[in-house]
Amino acid sequence: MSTTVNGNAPSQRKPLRKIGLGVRRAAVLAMYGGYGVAAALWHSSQTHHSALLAVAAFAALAAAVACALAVFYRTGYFTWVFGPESGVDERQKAMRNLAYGYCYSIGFALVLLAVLYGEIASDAHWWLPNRNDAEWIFWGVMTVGLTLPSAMLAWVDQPPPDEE
Amino acid sequence: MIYNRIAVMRTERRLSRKDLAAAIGVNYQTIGYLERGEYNPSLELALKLSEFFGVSVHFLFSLRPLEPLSRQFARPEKE
Repeated sequence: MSTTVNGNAPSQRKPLRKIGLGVRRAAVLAMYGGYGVAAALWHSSQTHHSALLAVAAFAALAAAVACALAVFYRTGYFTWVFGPESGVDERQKAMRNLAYGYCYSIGFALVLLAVLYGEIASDAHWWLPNRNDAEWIFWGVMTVGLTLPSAMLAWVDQPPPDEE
Repeated sequence: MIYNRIAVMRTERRLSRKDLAAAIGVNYQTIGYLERGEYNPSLELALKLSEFFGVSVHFLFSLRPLEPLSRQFARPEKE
């Protein structure tokens, strides 16, 4: 039996930074929630011409970025999704594919809700994004699109108990 | 669920999960999931494990709960 292992194989990579499940989940929620809060605060700051709200918006954005770093920096979740095939074993591939499936469902639901909201909002004179809001929405969609599979894996990944 | 003797075979050889994972080429957490029956291996992985331990796939894995080896080997031989 050959015991030669691919240098990039899951068992051969450098130890990653480990964070507890509760902390990970809180950071994922804070990451996306923080961005949403930042967008809302920025919109309010533009509406009310408030420098304080603008500063609060950037503070919320900085907190969201910090949470993103806490979840993704050297924890392996980003590499798990976007890394080379040789870097994940079959179980990790199965989990990654499961995450992709859930992300597709969530993405589809969000797009559908956005379209429905747009249809209703234009008739009911609800809030609709202006040019500034559209930029926040664009970057929000980019962020969610790039991070959601990794965030999902970070949400569900539970190291088995009594690991050696 | 697929039952297995991976933990027994690994312990017998005084291997940690990381040692076994490195030899097989998987993440060490996968070994843990395999041992507890929380993940069913592919045919390739099952064959790699069987080959590593030098036993048959049927000895290592089963669809039914496996009889403890101590009980199996303690059975008196039929005359």
